[in-house]
Amino acid sequence: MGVLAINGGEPLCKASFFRWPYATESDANVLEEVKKSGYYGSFGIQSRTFSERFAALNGAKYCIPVSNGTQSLELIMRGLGIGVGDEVIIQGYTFIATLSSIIYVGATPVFCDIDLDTYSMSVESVRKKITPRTKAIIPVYVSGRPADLDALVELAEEKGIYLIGDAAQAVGAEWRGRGIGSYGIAASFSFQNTKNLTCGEGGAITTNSDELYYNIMNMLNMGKDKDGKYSFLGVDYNISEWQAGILNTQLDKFPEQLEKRNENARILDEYLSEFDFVSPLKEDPRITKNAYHFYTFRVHEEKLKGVTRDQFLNALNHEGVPVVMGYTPLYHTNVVKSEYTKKQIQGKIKVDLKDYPNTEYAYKHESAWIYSSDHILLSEPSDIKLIADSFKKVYDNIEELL
Amino acid sequence: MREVLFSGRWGTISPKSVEAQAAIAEFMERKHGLCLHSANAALEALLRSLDIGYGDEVVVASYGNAMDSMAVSCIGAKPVFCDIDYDRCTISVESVKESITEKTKAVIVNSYAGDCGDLDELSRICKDNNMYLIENVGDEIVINKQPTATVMDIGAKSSLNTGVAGALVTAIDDVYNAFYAYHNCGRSPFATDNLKVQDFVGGNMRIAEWQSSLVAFNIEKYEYKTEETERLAKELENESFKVMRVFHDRALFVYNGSNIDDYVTLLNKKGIKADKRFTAMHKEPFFKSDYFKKLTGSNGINDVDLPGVEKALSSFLWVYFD
Repeated sequence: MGVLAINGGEPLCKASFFRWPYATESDANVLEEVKKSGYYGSFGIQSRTFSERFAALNGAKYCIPVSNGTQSLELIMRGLGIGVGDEVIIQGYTFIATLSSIIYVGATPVFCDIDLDTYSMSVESVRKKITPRTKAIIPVYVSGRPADLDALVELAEEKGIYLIGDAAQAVGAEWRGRGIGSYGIAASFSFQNTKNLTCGEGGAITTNSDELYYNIMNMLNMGKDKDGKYSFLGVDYNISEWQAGILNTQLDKFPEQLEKRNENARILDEYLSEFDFVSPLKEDPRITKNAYHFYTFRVHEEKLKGVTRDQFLNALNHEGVPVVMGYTPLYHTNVVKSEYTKKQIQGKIKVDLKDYPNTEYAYKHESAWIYSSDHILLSEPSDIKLIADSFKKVYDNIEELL
Repeated sequence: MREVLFSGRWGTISPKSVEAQAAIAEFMERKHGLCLHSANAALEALLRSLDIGYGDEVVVASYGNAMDSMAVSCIGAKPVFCDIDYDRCTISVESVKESITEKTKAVIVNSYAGDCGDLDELSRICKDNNMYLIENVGDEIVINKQPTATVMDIGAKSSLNTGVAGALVTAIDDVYNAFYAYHNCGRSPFATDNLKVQDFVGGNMRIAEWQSSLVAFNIEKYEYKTEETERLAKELENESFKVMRVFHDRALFVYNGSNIDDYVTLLNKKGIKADKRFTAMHKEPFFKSDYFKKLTGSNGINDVDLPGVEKALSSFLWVYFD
């Protein structure tokens, strides 16, 4: 029997992580309020109240609550008229929603590389992928960390293309003191069960564009314009009053939780900075608030004495630290090659692995998340220390993994 | 609702949505059921799961729920608008036959007026032409077993009122499995790893647990009553205004006077909630727009002569008793 839990030793990290989602009587009260109102459908008072509050949180003119953070991306692109024959640039290192929403509108996804400092899209790689058909770029704010918005906004303006923020994981994030939802033509948020602001299933769009706002609102009204004519594509991607009510009460709790996430992440950054075999993502003073949906770190496999990143993470899991390797780049998935994709976009998605060296390196050797259905970063500092101690324990006994 | 709230599972295929699946399947007498965030989403996911998309055609009635032609457009297929059988207020079988081309992949029948049409004949036509028969019962509860799958609205206007939600039922395993994946980010019903999701081009159309928790509860209480609506509807009848069909909260009337719009205004002035409800979708501006053409790769929808629809628009009037 070894020292490490993976070899039969005693697990070190016996922490009680913060259970999520977190409900109180205020949430129960709002459900009761909705019930008493007798109206549970879309565009109700809870929904309108949430729209105003979430727009304000983001410093955006408008917020539109919708069914989820996949269909929000789809709606933004439809509202901008993006479709068959157009190209949209995304990173491969993201969740399927970023890709499927583009295929759903009929546009062609074009993959770019990521920047290993941010795990969001590399500005230089994006630049190389822009063609006359490019209509938009969708930077993903992975784990709630904003991309380099100075450079990406400038590039989008220079090329006359839209920047759509995939802020599914980034509720509450700020860049240079401004809410993440106020950058680009629009931003897309998710309120799925694991997200930092949740109603089980839900999403939102923020925008400062009057035209895009009205286009999307008309689509959500089954395509009817102000005269009652069906002038737009119609969809029902709305949320109920149950969901909107919960979002309102959860939003009351949100600011304090966001502070705690940032404080615990800072503590974890400090702990991990003491090691040379892992490191937190690079600090950037322009990120005035990181949403920290989960905690992303880099594993330096070359320092692990012959042990792979995956072996290292496996050992950490056995110690009780919930870690995963993160995303499999989407260009490796069957979706890219599927016949249905080809039919919908009227062509093929080009994949050239040599164009994504950072993504490939992150996928195979480096990327790692502390990630769980519990919200680790809302736990007590003593539990955060147990995580760091477990890293040290695994490394100190790394020969056991060979 | 409290049970959901303190369960820590508010979405993403949790216990109440699993319970709702079973309840809706049993209620609609099919092997499989699935609840989603809206009926529109259900129809979209169904079309995608049947591999229908860009370049394909789907036959829909021009007079009826806008959702049908919108969902077809949304997935890049072209809706081909056909006429209705005025006497039954449902899709015309003859017009369906005339609308079929080599690109046609499905026919959507809609029971907004409580009648899906001659499903035996429509099933035969679909089988002969290698097409799917899709049923949209809207917010009415109608149980038929011939269609490939049935989509239903269980939102705020349904007698199963959950707020905003839809459902799909089918007896076919493959249709259900693909549909499930399309509604859940590409994950098959048998997936074990939520981060590996990518065999289907899946979107997210999942239902939250709040609505799910109401499905089985409301099904248990469900009782379709029309007596009171019938009584109220009869009170409104006159020489030129006759009840055609009665539902739980509304009635379809036939108006034989000179101007239906004036009559709607008259009823509204009396405090009676009434409207024409539907329009001739094939004449709506969206289907002639550049975006529609781009979406579907078509030249848009031409104005065609659909006499059943025209007659319906000048005589069918809906009165609501909610």
